[in-house]
Amino acid sequence: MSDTDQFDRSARFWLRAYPVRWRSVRGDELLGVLRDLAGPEATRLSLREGLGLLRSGWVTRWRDGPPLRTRLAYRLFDRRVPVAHREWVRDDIAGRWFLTRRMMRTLLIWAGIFVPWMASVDPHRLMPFAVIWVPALALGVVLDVAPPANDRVRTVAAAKHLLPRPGERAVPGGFTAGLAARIRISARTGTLLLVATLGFGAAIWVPATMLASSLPVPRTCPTSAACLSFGSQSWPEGLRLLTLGTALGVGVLAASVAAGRFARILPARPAQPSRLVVGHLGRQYAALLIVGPLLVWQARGETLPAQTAVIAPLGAVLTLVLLPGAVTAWRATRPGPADLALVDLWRVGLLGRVPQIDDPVTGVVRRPVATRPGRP
Amino acid sequence: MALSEQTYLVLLALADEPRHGYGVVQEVRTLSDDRVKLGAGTLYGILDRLVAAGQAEVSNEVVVEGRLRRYYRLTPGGRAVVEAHTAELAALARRARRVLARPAFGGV
Repeated sequence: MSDTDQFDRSARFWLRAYPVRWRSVRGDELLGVLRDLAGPEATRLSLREGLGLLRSGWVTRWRDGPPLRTRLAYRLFDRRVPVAHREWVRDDIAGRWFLTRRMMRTLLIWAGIFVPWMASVDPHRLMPFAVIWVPALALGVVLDVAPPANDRVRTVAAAKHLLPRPGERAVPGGFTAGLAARIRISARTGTLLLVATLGFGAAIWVPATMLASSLPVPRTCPTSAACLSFGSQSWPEGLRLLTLGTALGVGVLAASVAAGRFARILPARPAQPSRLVVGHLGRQYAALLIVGPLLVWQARGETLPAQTAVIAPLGAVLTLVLLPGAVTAWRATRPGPADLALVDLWRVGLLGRVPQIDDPVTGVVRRPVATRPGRP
Repeated sequence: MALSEQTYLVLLALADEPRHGYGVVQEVRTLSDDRVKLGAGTLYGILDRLVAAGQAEVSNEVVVEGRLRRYYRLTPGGRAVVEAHTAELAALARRARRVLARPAFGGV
């Protein structure tokens, strides 16, 4: 990498403080000035200049958006903003942390309703509420960093906030309803994430199941034979191993059936002209890093002497059944071209059917801008 | 819009000819006798405000050695603002000189 590339990379990192729209218009210009100011020998932006960009970028973000009242109405109550600020809303909906912001809004509203009530009834009940906050926020982050999963939410939000309502004047370059490509999760990325997630789950839940002091057992109620309830009991080690081994055996068997289907059907799959396959591994690993410690903490809790393990044995059986199939699907995608989506593997591997051809979906697109034909 | 010293210097830098971002930074250093060194973030904050207020506008764009250079110039409104502020500063400087020329009484 040349010094110029290194410098540009460093500068663009700091430039992310500015709104997307601002960067698309002025980003290259500002980058040129930064290069001139730093001199030809510079390989990275100085911290002082970077902090200056950070401050100015956030000031620009604030100045660029609607006034505080409109902003709060949009953030807290999902109200539409005036036409003048539609581009700001578009950036917000397309933004990296859109779902996290939405999750925070829901939590804030819940907090506004329940915290005063709980505090008035019993202040000690506030603690469980706080415990809900962290996983819920983590969920928002996870949904954001697993990009295609939230596409539907973004499309619905765009339709609500960007499309003109009756009476509003449609302007060239503005937003309108139109046909857009169907976004699908890449099979390669999706299966790799699936293998990593299931592998991680098996790595924590199988040992937790073996170490747990007692496990749930089904038993009939003494009063009625039709009633089924769960109690807890210490399972012998052999029975635990047999249960987990059976789960793994079922998984391997299902995976071998799926492997045959992949080999037979995938090479002859139809073309997908209305599909956009997406997937970014870095963000999805970030999602694992966020959820992982929570799962470890929970599994460790189930191995404590007085606890009955519930999630660990269920998770262990589930992951052992699914993991061989996920590995098989991942192997099937390795030589595959980019049009293969996770949904295709699901349909082929589980149902043994040919992948469906995606239809274009109704989405929000820009109204074309008429241009004057140029002179020859 | 109340003029800060930095904004006034940027307006002054654009007063005689259109300049690109780096050119404005250099001219501001010259005008302030090397005292005011504008960072790029500060400069573009000021330019954004001036353009939004109709006091400056983009005059031209050129690509030099792969770098996009956008030139800015003052609008008639911007020129009026910088002239009015210069007149205020000149009047203040005249008053200041008169005050300083008086003999100091009651001092120790």
